[in-house]
Amino acid sequence: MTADAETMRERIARARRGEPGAAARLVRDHDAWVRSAIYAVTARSELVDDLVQQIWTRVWERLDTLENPEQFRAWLYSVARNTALDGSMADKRRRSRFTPLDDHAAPLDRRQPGPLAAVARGELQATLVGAVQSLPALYREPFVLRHLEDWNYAEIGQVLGLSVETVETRLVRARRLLREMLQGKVEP
Amino acid sequence: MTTTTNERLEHLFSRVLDDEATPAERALCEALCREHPQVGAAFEDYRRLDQAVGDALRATMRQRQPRTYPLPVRWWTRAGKVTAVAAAACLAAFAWLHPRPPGSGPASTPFRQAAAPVSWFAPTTPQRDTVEPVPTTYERPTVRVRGVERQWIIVPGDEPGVYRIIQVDRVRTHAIPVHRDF
Repeated sequence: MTADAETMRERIARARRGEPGAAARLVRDHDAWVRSAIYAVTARSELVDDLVQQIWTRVWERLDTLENPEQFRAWLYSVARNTALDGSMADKRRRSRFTPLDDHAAPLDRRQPGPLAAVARGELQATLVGAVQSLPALYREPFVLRHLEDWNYAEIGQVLGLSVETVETRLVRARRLLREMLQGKVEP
Repeated sequence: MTTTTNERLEHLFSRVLDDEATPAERALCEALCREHPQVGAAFEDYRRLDQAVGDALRATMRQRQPRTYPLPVRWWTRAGKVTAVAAAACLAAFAWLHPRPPGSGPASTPFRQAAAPVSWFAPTTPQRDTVEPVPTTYERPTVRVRGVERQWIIVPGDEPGVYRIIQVDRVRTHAIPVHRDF
């Protein structure tokens, strides 16, 4: 057993025993990538705050069902993914009853030299993020995890349950689709 | 370039951009870019697009970062908690052990008078309460509201918009709040 695996096993055991600080430590270590995972699955940044709380609640409810603490990250990703999918579907049902305002309106950045530059920058960001959102989830998940968490192919494959070759293929296809969607929209 | 060549190039570009390429693959990519300007231009397109999309994603998530952070626990916070617990324990022990003089408390109930302990440690026997005999039969009273034929009335409740229906038809009288302003 590696030192990392042993540390993880010990942390999970402490959290299961309800030791003060153990649960907080797990959240502190994993919360950032769980947020990225939610975004990768739902492609909606406004859902992240709500869903991350639901995910941690589910984690504490089901921590005893984790058979292999060394696989905590993959297990946590599956909990996050399922919760995010449920949340995304619920959000779609809710949104179908309303006429949404513009989702992609980015706030103006006052550090920019002028309002026009800020608007242009906001529009470009919205276009790029919109393209990522329109990717099929199959390709979006590894792409977002690669860019937000800087995970390598093996790490992405571990949480998604894919081989390294499959991860690579999906990243290539994600980039190809993005290139087709954004052709001529990113200035040199 | 053929489709197969394009796909191979895409995989090569992807591996280089993701820092997954071996030194040999990286050297191959550099050589291809140097020798074939169109390959170099394509790689530059890939790199620029990848960077722009990555920046946009990170900017979007930065706007969604949690804004609350746990405060560090200082030593004096812990010391204060320990002191407070110790003080509370001392007070509780003092109140428990100190005998209270009879009649010094609030208005004495029959139970208190009967118990009237000299010390908290003296054995006491609870006294039985006197209970009125329960009537064996019940006669329903005749209740009529003056000037009204029905057996229920509506009266205003404690708050605006709340009314109560008072109805006599059983052993007990029900007062049902009606949350409707009519």
